[in-house]
Amino acid sequence: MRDEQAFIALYRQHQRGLYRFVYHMTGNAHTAEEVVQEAFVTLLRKSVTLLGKSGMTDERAYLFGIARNLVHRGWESAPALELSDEIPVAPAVLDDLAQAEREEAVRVAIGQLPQVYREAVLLCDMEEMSYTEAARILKCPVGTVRSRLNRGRQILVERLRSRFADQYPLVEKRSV
Amino acid sequence: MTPQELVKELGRATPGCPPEMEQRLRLLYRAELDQAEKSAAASSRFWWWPGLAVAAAAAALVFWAPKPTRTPARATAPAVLQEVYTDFYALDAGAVGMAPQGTVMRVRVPRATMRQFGLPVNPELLSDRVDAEVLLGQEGTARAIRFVSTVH
Repeated sequence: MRDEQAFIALYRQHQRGLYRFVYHMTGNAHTAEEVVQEAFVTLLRKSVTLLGKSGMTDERAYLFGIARNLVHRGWESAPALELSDEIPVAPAVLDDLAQAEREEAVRVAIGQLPQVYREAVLLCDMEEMSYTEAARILKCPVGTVRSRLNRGRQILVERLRSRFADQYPLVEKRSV
Repeated sequence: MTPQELVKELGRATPGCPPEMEQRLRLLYRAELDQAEKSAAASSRFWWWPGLAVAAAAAALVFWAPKPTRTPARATAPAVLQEVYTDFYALDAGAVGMAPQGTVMRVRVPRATMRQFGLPVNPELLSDRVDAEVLLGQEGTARAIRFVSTVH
């Protein structure tokens, strides 16, 4: 990747999704920053090595795959997931306290999901990836992604229903 | 709201990396590219190394490979002999400091003669004869002498 602008364009295109994924996987904004930076540097080194060759056709899957590996490595050294106190919400939503409260509840509920379900929910629901793309990142069959996603959604519904049933009646959808 | 909608809502509300990350990555990009170019330049300087290694390996094989047994031929290569000379030593007081010019005559003298000029001589070889060159003046008198030794 000899073009700095192309590299930065790629960063701008994917940084937010990548950051979101790592942040909600780890619950730590600082870790999310570090992982995003490392993922892009790894991509850069890989693309420099592959100068003039094919490869690098699916940068998003590649970046998310690197980020996931880094997150898992972090878990090996510190298996307990710690949700940081800081809540990275966009300033606009602070106007709507009800929305902020709901988002916080969802954030906590996602953070409490078992890792395999959390990955599936974040990739498929938050990043709106296809099962195929998620399966490539998670290194598992498409059917496994589908079942993990369904189970993750079920757990989310159960946890959120108790809190928001009166205000936001949840409608559970099952993917076929 | 469905769980998917709640998760998407949370995703929209989650910000991305801080602005300074982009500048950090620009710097890292330049550093990586610089490093890659240096590595490429270094490897292109030594493009001929693999060829040299192959040639060296082939030469080693030829040299070390077991050869068919045959009667070794006597080494008949002519020895390269080289003469070395001492300085000229004056044979009379008038020749001291003069430039060594004139006719040179090759003679054989006892090795003991070298001793007279302060040159080291093996006592056991005093009776041997050594080559010497005598510098003759215009009147035919011997003015200086130097000793000759042959080395391989």
